[in-house]
Amino acid sequence: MMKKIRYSEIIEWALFCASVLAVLVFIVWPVAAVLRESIIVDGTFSIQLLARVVPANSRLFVNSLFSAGAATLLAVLVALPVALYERYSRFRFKKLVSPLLLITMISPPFVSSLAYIVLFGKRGLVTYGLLGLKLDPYGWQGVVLMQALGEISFAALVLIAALRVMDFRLLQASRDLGASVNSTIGRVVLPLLIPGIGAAGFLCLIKSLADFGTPMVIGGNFSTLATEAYMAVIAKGDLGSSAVLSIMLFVPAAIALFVYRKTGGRSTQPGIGSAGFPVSETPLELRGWLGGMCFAITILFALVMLAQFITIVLAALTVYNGSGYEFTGEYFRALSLDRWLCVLRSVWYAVVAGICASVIGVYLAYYIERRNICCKSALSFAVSLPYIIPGTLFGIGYVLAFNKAPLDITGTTFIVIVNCIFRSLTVGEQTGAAALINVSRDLENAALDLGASRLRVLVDIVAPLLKNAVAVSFVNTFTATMMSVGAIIFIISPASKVATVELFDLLNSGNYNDAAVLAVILTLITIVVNIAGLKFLGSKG
Amino acid sequence: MYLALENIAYSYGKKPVLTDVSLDVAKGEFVTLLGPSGCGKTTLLKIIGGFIEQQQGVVRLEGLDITSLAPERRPVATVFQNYALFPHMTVQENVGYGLKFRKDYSKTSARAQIAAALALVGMSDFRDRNVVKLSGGQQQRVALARALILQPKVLLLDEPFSNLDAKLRVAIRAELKAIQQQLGLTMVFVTHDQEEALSLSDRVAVMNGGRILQTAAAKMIYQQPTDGFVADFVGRVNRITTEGQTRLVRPEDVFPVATGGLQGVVSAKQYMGAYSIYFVQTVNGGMVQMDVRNCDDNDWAVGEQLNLAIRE
Repeated sequence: MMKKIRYSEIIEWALFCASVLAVLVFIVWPVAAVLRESIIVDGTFSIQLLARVVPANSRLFVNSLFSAGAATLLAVLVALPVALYERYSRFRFKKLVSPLLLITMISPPFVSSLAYIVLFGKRGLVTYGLLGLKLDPYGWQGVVLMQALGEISFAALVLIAALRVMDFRLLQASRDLGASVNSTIGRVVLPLLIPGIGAAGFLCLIKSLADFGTPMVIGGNFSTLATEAYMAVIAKGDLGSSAVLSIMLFVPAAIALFVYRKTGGRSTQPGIGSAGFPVSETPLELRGWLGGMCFAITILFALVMLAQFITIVLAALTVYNGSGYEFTGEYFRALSLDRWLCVLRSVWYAVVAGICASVIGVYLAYYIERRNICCKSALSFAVSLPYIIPGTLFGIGYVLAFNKAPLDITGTTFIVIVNCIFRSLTVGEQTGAAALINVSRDLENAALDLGASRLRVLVDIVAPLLKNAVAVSFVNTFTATMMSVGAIIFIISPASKVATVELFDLLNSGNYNDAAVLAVILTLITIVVNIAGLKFLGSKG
Repeated sequence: MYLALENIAYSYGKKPVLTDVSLDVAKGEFVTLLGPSGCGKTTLLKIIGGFIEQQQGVVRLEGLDITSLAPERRPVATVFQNYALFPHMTVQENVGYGLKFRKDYSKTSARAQIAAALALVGMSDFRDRNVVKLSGGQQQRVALARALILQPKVLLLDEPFSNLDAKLRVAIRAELKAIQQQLGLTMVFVTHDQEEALSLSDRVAVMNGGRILQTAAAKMIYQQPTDGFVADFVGRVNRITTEGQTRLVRPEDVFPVATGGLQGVVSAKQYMGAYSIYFVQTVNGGMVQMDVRNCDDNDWAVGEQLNLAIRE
């Protein structure tokens, strides 16, 4: 019997092929372009460029590795007690920890650096204003501290998610067998948490490695590979060197990923898409020195975050009049139309990128998880790439891949939006994959059995059941895009400048009060969208 | 034959799941695939439903080869183990879902058909309910109505009662049998519960290790198992060796006699309500189980001597 081809099958395949093509063009090709740039000189294979750039920057490589490693270690060391406190404390205060982490995670890049300069800089409120000191705050110590501060919230949320899905019966069994709370944490909780710690650490490491902004703002003479790659593109227009530098950045990240996967990391991407499991009864209550320590670190972290927040708000709202500080609205009033346009553009890009990345990501998750498609693991790897490569590499890839025919889109709004979409695609895919665990395959089989075509199954059954996953992913990708600076700074033209890039420029030119205003506005908008998103999800149970 | 499975083989990777399975089902017949978990019975059902394609063999329905027909085009319907009700649809949306893909679909006739299907399973009052909020038994009925409304040529049921408590299971079992007989449905039913298989089916196919060991009427399967595994799986059985010959004897076919027979000592007894099981250690070394109806005049204590005979 001949198999009849139906329209629904054609539509379905056209949709799928289009999204795979998009992944190839906007993820694989730019990454390949970076590799190509570094090993092909004048059309032939050559290691000339590598041989020139790699040894010349070995010092920076060590700097990057050292500062990112130290920042990661510090972030995880603080995040772990915070997470334990959030899950296992006896006190009511713990209910505030998650909201605190969520809010502090929604902070524009360099906010810690900004607060640091305002408080401890050459004209710092504390060092100069209160103590009358003139200290030089610039150096690697500040970089490590600020990068760590920026990552603690995220790392703690990853660890909390991992603790939440831990089978609480194991902990009850441990107690039942005579282990104290502290030994249960040491012998059961921590070993089970190793993949979570690995995931959190890995993601912190990648972000810190790729962070060129913090060293530029407060590093002083301390420079890293990421700053050098940034300078190579922006100041010197040397794409070849920047390509090699960003590959050098990726090497430690790739090694870390390899180690993480080998040592019990799951097949999913580290750290995302694991939220939303039912919260079970609390099997442990922190006590003793461990409880005290977790509490102290959590409180300290909360106070630092509060200080940071107050500093930014004060910087945005006060002026120094010679003898003291007084409130002023002048910085807000001085917001130029250009700067407002940057904010609007940020919102607009984040909305578009959030919707597209979530819909395409969840859609691809369905194909990767549920359908027998060829090259499934290759597709899955391609989708995960934007999350595991440093933003610098992704941005430089876009510069290299799209500055000539057939896709000469450099300088357009389109390239910026596309970059934002595909940078966040991994989040959408992972959220979708996590949601699919709760969608039984038999639901699809039942619909097929009742006569629905594959396309109808997608529209009638899968799409409605994954709606929430799309919404969750939207909130996350919106936030990420609002706050991102790493990849897009390379491809932005004056006509497509976004608020974070403006913020970065203001910081670099020393306009700290204007930068603070922008940071406050960005934070407020993003928090509003997050709360609206949570309300929307909450109203649907 | 109405539904014919011919020499079906299926392996998952290198591991064979089904080996040379053949089965015929007549029109209006209720056939059960019975076996322990991992025996391949659910895989076989999925092959009939079209969710899995076998590597070898043919599935025929009314003489036509439907092997390469996609599930949405097969005139069979499945009641899934966990019901697979669409959680974002109401009861009637679930039940009416399959009608939408009929060429002659009309809203008025769909409404009437949904009403009839719900009436058949006794769920008329629940049409606008959210399926998630229904009890297990109610969900079961909705799943059945959703499959029946398409008037499938074969209805497939994958352990449909496994999530119900014992009492409800017995009640729904009777309802299912009544509906099957009323509509003259052809059914293939998968279960690992031998009582369910024996009480419902016209014929039972006992499976193990990816093969069908015996296909026969329930009574035959129980009384004349062709295989030790079949005998064990559908009930308790004694292996009694007398005069060099080993026989398979059901515990209810063993009874005490005053003299003669097989001598033994009661080593344990279990009270089961309507009957008791006596574990008798016989002189030739074997342990024999004997079921005895609980009446006052036949109660033996542990340690008592008994002479056992076998009912022919």
